[in-house]
Amino acid sequence: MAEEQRASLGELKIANEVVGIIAGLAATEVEGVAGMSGGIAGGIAEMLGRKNLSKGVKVEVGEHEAAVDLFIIVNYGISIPEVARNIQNNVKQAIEGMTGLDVVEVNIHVLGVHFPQPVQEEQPPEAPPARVK
Amino acid sequence: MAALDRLIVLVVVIALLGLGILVAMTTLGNKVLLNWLIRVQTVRLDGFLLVLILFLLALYLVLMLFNELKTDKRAIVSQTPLGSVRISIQTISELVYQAVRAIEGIKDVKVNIGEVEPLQLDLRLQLFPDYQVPQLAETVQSSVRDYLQQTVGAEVAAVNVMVTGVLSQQDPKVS
Repeated sequence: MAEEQRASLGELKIANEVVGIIAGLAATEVEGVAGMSGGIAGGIAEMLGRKNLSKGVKVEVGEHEAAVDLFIIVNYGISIPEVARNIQNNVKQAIEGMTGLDVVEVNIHVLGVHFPQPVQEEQPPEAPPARVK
Repeated sequence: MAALDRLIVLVVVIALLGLGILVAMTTLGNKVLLNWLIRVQTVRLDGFLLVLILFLLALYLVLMLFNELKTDKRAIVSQTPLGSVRISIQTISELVYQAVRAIEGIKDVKVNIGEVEPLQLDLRLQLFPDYQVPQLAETVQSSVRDYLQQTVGAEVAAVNVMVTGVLSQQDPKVS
């Protein structure tokens, strides 16, 4: 399925894939997003060396409207509703700005949390106090 | 998808492709597969080895599928003007786990999510000794509630705490 716009000189079609890539890039650049989460098929494709820019994105594109579902992993320590709102705004702006489609829905699915590699915060063990001063 | 899962899937794909090619060659008159089958009748070890590998691969795939089905599909859903936001149960558990582990006096915690709407959590705690258990439990309850309110924006109806054990510290001289 592709988006179609009738112009006087011909028609403009925008493939689902394109909208998906725009959405994926717009979502990952939001602060607090650790990455997108693809399914099993995505995992196999990636293993075979195909970098998938629209990983974790599901789009429906109609004639003038688009709806997006994003499957994301967030960073630890952020406020999820706030990040979700930022993603929705950013993705909506990006798609509307680049394709002229009206974005009616940006659904966010938070599938997991990414924790930073545990930094060794333990203080070096204190030397036992000397018994005699 | 874990790296091992991908590797196994790749191996299965290669095995099936190989089998397909051998059968195709057999239909075209090639005798490689037939000769091998005849050979296995006498040299059994090859046959057993192959069968064992295939069975293990099949078993792994079945377990993988089972795990996939078993994952909890529930989520906390909230609506925004621009669409819905779904936060999966796994995300909630991971967040609660980290939040509880950060509390002083907690050795380990198992998180179980009983109800989603409203959110009910069951925590099984293992503690370090020398802490007042009722106070610690209260701290856990309030910090989990505050933490989820802050990061997920969800109201927590209940945080049930069950203390399952107290661990002895390895070296009480070091803080």
